[in-house]
Amino acid sequence: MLELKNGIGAKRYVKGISLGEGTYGVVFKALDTQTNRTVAVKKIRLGKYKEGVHVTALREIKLLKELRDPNIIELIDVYPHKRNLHLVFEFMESDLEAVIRDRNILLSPADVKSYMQMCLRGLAHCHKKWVLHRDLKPNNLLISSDGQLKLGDFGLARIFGSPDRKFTHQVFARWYRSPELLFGSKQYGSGVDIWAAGCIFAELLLRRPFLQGSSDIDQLGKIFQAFGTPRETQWPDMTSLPDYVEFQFTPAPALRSLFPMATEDALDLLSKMFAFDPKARITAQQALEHRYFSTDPAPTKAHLLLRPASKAEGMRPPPELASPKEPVVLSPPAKARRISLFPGVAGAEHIHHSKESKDGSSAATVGETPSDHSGMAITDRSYLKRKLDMDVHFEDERHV
Amino acid sequence: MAGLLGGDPAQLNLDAGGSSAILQGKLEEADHSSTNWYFPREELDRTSPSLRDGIDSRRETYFRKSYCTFLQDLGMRLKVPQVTIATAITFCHRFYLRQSHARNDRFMIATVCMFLAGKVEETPRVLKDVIYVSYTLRNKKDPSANNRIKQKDLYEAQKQLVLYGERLVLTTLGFDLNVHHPYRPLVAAIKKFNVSQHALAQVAWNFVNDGLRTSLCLQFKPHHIAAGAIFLAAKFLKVKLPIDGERAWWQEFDVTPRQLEGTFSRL
Ligand SMILES: Nc1ncnc2c1ncn2[C@@H]1O[C@H](COP(=O)(O)OP(=O)(O)O)[C@@H](O)[C@H]1O
Ligand SMILES: [Mg+2]
Repeated sequence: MLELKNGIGAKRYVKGISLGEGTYGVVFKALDTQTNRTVAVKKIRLGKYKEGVHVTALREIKLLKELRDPNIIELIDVYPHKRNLHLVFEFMESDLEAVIRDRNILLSPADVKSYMQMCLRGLAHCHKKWVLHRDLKPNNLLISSDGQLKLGDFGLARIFGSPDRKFTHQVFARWYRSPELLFGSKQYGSGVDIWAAGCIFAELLLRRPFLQGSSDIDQLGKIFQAFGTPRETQWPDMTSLPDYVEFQFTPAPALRSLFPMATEDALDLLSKMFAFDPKARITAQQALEHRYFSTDPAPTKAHLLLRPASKAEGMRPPPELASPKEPVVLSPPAKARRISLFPGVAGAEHIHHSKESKDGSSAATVGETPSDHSGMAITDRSYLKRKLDMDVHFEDERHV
Repeated sequence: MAGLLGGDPAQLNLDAGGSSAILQGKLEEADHSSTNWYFPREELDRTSPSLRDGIDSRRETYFRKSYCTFLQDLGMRLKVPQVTIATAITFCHRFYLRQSHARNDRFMIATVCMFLAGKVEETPRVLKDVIYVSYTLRNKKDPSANNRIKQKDLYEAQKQLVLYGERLVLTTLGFDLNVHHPYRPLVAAIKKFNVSQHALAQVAWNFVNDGLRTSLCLQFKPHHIAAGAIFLAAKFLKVKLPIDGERAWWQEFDVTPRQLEGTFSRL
């Protein structure tokens, strides 16, 4: 009863090559000598953070211990060693971003269906356990050597379900943010993950990110260009959201025109995942029961999916949605932009714009400043992005 | 103090330690933690690390009460929700299942547990505030403590202790951070059974909070404690609980009234 489980810590794993740099430290490949399995060890420097073990690490540990599912990354072990905390995960060969980016991989409708099914299964499990992922994007959907897609990176995830809980809306990389988040909602639910999953569905069909806004306002503009400006009847709660701004009415183009190759079933599911009103948005479980998954073609078996040759850095294909004219903002934003929350971070605006130009991640609402392309290292950018995210997070939630 | 828990837990058959399927009460929240955190009372007493250092169970019960009172007070001063306080208390209880009071100052460990629970329950308090409030609370009778902790040397020393303590607590807990409390099943049950009396909910809630200060939450799962609290509250207020068709309310929790009464008879 008094023995610590997995107490042997550092001795159990033989460290191999570095797999990548995360926000809080390096990720190494390693061999688990107890099981002979290849694992990924995320090393989190403890000394760096003045508030002790960082809350993102605690979240990841707490939630992943609760979530056991074939489509969710497995946290095998946690142990401290020297001045670091080590999180041991099952080793994942690749991620969905690499698949989408790899021009040598042809994604058939059955392949897309298979990826979406695995993604929604993982998500349905999270939501059943009252966990919101809040950071879904192709780069956080990891792919194992047997082709299984698993949700990873739970550093932003949260328990939801108590109606009085207020959340920060500064979550998700911008391109995957739902309209209620962009309008500043703080009492959102599982619909935010579904919207992001819809964006990933669209990205699988298009082979490029679907809605690439350069600011929060621009992101909303891109959304309304694609689906039309929502009417009050479509989304009654919209106008009472904290950051609601009125947009000039744009009619919805036919969804078919945006996804010329998609089947009727795929379009129907897609449109339900992109319902404006989060209350009307399809749930992960309902989506799995949608006829899209039961009609031909059947989803490709995971082990038959083609995997990218290497995880090497590559550029995203050039984007740009065939765009009609930009919707126009009619009323000024309801309140001061959130950039003022971090007066201490010099140049934050500049730097995080350079980040946006890469993958749409951003920490703050910054209006319509155009992106620039300064050459900041990716790790610095993502660190800053996370840092800003967390600071806002802290501000928002400590008063709950 | 030692007789705070009436009855014999082994005989209560409340799944204290086992994993029997018959006890999957409908109001139970699934707990996937790989570690079992529930033990019968005798085992708790027999295997206590503090006992090996010469601290008997009577004294340990006193220590337990004292850090609980401290944590309740600390949590209220830091203005964290009751759930955060409950998590801090549970962390502390579990810590002393595996570590000795003789080697780990309970107020320092409690301070660490509050700091950690704040982060885990998404109600973080900055380390500096936790240290200031904790230090002044621990030295309540000393009016100069308030200024003393603001001196750099003392503050830095306290900070190092808390940061070191955080690692110790995390490792001791095996990084099991997701703690379930009786509050959710309690509220769910009261809603489900249509027990509208506000008084009943309040009294039951208070019993749950009382139970938190004892080793009860090391012996029984949250939904069982919730059931016991409702039963006791109904008895206390002389309220009749509804019987829903064939099934009496307490069957939802898979406990019998006699067992419940046994558990709470001396509370
Ligand atoms: N389980 C894993 N298997 C293989 N590589 C991984 C695994 N987890 C993370 N990595 C690599 O480490 C990088 C950073 O990890 P991640 O968890 O995404 O950190 P962050 O929270 O900073 O985004 C990833 O981009 C990926 O290249
Ligand atoms: Mg990541």
